Amino acid sequence: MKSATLLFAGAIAVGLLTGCEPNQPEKVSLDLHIETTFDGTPVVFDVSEHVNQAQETLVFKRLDYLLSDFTLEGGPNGDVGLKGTYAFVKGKAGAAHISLDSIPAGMYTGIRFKIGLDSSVNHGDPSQYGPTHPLNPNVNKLLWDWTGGYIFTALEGNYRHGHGDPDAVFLYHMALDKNLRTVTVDFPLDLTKHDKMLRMEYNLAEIFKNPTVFSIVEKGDFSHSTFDNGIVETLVGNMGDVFVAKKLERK
Amino acid sequence: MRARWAVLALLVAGIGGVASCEKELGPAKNATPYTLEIPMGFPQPLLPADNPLTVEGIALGRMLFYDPILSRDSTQSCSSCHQADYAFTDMGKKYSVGIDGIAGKRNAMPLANLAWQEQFFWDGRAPSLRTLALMPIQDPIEMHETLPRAIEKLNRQPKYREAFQAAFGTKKASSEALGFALEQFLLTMVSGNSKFDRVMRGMETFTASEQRGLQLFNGESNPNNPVRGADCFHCHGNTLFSNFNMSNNGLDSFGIDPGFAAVTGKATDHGKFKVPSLRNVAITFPYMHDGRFQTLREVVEHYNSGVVPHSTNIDPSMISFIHGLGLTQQDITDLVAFLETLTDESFVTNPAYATPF
Repeated sequence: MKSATLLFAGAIAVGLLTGCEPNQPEKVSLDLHIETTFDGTPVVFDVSEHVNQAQETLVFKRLDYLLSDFTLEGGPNGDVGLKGTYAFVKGKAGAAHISLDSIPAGMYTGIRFKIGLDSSVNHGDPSQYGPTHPLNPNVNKLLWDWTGGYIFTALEGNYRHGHGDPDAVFLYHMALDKNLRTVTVDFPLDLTKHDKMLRMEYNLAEIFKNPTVFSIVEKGDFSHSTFDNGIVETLVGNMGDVFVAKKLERK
Repeated sequence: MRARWAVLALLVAGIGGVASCEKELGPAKNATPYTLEIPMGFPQPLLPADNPLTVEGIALGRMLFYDPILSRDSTQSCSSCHQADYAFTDMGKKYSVGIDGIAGKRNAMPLANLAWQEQFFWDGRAPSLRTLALMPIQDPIEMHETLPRAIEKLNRQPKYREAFQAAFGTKKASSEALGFALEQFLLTMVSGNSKFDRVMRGMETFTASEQRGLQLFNGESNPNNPVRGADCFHCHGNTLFSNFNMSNNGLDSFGIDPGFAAVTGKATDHGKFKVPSLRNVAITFPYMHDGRFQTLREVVEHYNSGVVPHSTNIDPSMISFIHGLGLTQQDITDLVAFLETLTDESFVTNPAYATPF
């Protein structure tokens, strides 16, 4: 009888121990940590100088952009779209943190998102957004009245080339529905067990070279996305690889 | 031994009592919550969570705004340099003069739609309205008072003791409560009922000149674009008519006033000043941080052909202005006509913002 009691107690203990093993979570979160670089060199806004493919020396003063419609690709049950996900990134404010929650746990092959906004959101009522929402115009300062939409990417700075003006400025405001760009960042994302953070870079050098070499002197120093001899089309076309994943780590 | 424990217990109780007295400032238990009305089309503002608006807090702030008691010789109040008829600027003066007869070095900024702003003064040195509110009181060339003396004067008056009690549940005034009350009043000053707003709501129509001015205001200046524009929207777009950034708009090659650089210590901020809202701009003359332009026409002329191309730290948004806008005299007339539609008569005559005395 005594041994039976011990056996019973032992069984309970084993059961309890087994119960202490952490269960695989159903949902996890993924934070995107984005730093602005120029071919691997950190961009210090207003200060650091960088040379593009056209041998123009650049100092960046502003890189602000809107991202939307994040989708995890290649999951156990296919792609997972995270509805209503928007982010505003202000490059000058330092590394950006974008939190993506309620992701079904699993292995993924990469992440896809849009630089800019779908037409319905782009032309929706901006006063609907709460005080800290990324699409509140008082937060992002990217709403453009005259086109009835948002600037998707604002890139501004100074440049010099050869013996030209040493303090010349450039300004590219990339907007309009036709310039919405979807990008995919391929990177194995093990989101099976824990909340993770993906370290990424926004490589500004890409905008000036891949696939089309862009020269400020030759193409023009400003654009508001219209009557610009294709400046914004070229710049947006060069955004395919601006986002680079570097490392996935546990939060 | 027992006595020693008793003393220790009393000490601990005393410390606990002191600690509990240092509670955070907040609305009085019976204070009446106040909901800020947001004009149609305005974005939602981020209001300070630790200083919720109450009827009593706003009323106290309004009293303080108009009471010269806060200046050293009780001759000047906040309203002395921020008069309602001029959209809360200083009656067309280039520089305001303090209680000792000394003039300041920058033009008094208008007070409207402050709930949507994060940095205050031309150089952005105040990160909040509560901070802003206490600065002119202590500024030696403005109200030239100390906070302890101002608080002491307030506490001598029963009406203020009662008002602080009603607003914050405190028996006495404090510098923190003074800042909170003024912040609450300033947050309520909303201007969103100009002719421009009424046209946007379909209640009125622009004249032909005003309509053309609006098109110029929102149009880009681009030699490839057959339609001429004045590029104003970059810095003064949206319903608030400002991005409220710190910016150099090309007034000087190297300005004698460092502006934002005096706050940040960065050479790259030299000559940058806060972009003001254009709401009520027709009655907030003179213009720019140093009041150098007397009329709106002079301002538009500056942007049309007077921008200094190599101004240190010039904002990239000024690129079209550097190239020159090429506006005609008629364009300028139309732009000014549009800017005059931004005057909000109901704002400057709103009894809620008028003196309570």
